[in-house]
Amino acid sequence: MPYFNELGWRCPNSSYRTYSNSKTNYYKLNKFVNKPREILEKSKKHFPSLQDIESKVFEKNLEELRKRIESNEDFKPILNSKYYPFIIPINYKKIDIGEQLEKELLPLVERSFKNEFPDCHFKITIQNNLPLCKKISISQISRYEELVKKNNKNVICGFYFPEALIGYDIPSQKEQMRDLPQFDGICISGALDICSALIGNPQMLIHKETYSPILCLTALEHQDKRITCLFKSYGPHLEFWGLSNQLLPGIDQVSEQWTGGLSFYKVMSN
Amino acid sequence: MAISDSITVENNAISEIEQGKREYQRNKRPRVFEKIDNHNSDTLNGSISPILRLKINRSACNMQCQHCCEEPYMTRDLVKRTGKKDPRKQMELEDYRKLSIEADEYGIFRFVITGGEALLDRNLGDLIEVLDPYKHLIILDSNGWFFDDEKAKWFADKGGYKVQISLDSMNPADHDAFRRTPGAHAKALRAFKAAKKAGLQMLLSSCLIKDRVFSEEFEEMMAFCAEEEIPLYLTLAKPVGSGKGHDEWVCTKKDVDYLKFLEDKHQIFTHMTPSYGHPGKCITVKGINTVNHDGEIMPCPFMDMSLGNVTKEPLSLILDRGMKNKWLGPYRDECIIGENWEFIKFHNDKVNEWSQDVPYLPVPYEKGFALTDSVED
Repeated sequence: MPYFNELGWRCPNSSYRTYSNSKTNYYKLNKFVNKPREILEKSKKHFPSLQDIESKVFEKNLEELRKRIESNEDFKPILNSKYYPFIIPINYKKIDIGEQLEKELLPLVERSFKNEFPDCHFKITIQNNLPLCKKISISQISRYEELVKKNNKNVICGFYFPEALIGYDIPSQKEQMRDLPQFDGICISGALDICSALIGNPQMLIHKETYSPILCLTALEHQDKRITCLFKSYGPHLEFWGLSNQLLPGIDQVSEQWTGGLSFYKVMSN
Repeated sequence: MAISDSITVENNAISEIEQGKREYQRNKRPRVFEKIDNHNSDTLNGSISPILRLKINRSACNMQCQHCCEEPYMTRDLVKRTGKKDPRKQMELEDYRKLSIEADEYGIFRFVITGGEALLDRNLGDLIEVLDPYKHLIILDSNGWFFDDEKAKWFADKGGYKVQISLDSMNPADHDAFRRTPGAHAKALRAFKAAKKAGLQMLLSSCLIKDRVFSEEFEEMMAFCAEEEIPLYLTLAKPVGSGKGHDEWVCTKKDVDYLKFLEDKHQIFTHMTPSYGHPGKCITVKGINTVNHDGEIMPCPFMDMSLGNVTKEPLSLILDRGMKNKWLGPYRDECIIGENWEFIKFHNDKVNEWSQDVPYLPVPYEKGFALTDSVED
């Protein structure tokens, strides 16, 4: 059985809990902007340390990565779904991931979003007012730690596939790195990759005609396991929530709209 | 760089207005305060505390509004169609007393009393008493016709908390025509004054049809609400009840998105506006449930399909069943009965199928929602 269907959606099996056995199409992402130059320019505005990166280098690296995915029969179909290029500057300092999210990444997402949509709001709400600093860790089974480690010494580029796990509940999203084949540079999506993708693609969740998926930062775990960090649109606005992942006491949320992403990445090379 | 000044992660889940109201309840209605507080902490567990909207007095009404979703439940409509009133056993005071106890145990703190026009019910005072206005916030829906100074004082003295008065246009002729009742506009304006004088919380409830949000008239309404300091609550017109077939009334995402712009600038909201630390989302089961005259529970004010009957089953069982239904429980941003055409078709098909044989709504659970998937399947 293939790992991904023709829409690039992870094929579920009986061990996963999903909203539906097929990928639903009610919630839509905004267009995939296949213009790395544009994305790089937007990213540079908010990540000054990327100033020296040349567009052709960024494009070349993305193309290498795309070809590597394309040549892998297991992962090739994922290219049929929408994906968003991103670039992450080197993070030299080892900083608490919650603090990094709260103090650095979210403000940059806000700035990028408001730059593109000046009349709209970006809001952050954590249910029960629980803070992020010192409260967030990385899921041990997400392989996200490897991305963070590589990012401590290197600029990272990659593709964020937001809809790969749409409709999966959070525990089933997390299981994917155990079940999917090995690939050099893959992880369950978390903060650095999703925030960078949103900084370069601030239009991602803003759709005039339809509602968009809710992007879970599944690689991150709040100390309070009932909370999942996520991005969502609210009409024309963008919001970040620390939201309960419980449908009912003892029953995990399983929503047609909530999605977990997969990120494919590589170290930027000249 | 820190997060911008307008945003603080630590304290914005509950708005200042909501915090102020909670403090008021701490003294006036300690049990309500306790339940709100518990709801705030239990919400992470997935606990819900929906509004229970009680349709009383066979939905008798003095108006005949064009967009009314209640008409098929009214005696006048049933008599026209079947020659007699609804023969099903109606909820009695003891049933409501039991419901109030069950609701309290579940952590529910809000009852909305509605009709038709609830003030036509001579037993309204007794009903408020058995619901226990110091354990629950009692909110009254009214078209304002009968809500004069005397009635407002009476409601406040009974322990009533808030009145929601309907006004569908600032243009008196349009409002009266929409409600097919000359003078309705003037009476609604009088009702706001009466509510204010009696010290009641209030809101202006207005039906929004496609494109109205962009109209001058709507701007006038927002200005009126700002001037009078009345929160503006908007219900999106639905193609159900008397509105069935009026697909042209259904708001598009453009309307709804514009409303979300306006929410940042004005004190306006819909049933899907973020509140109580929850994001804006479909409120089926988790936000508002309607209790029909015969005890059937519908997961939304605009749905004609039941989740079970509260005179026959525990309330908690019915609500849990609803939360496990795939259409109703899981998170979704859109209003399914107002915007999701797949659901609207399913709903209207089931209502039509049922109505071919039986003239009484809602569609029982077994003939409607039971046919859809559960998250436990």
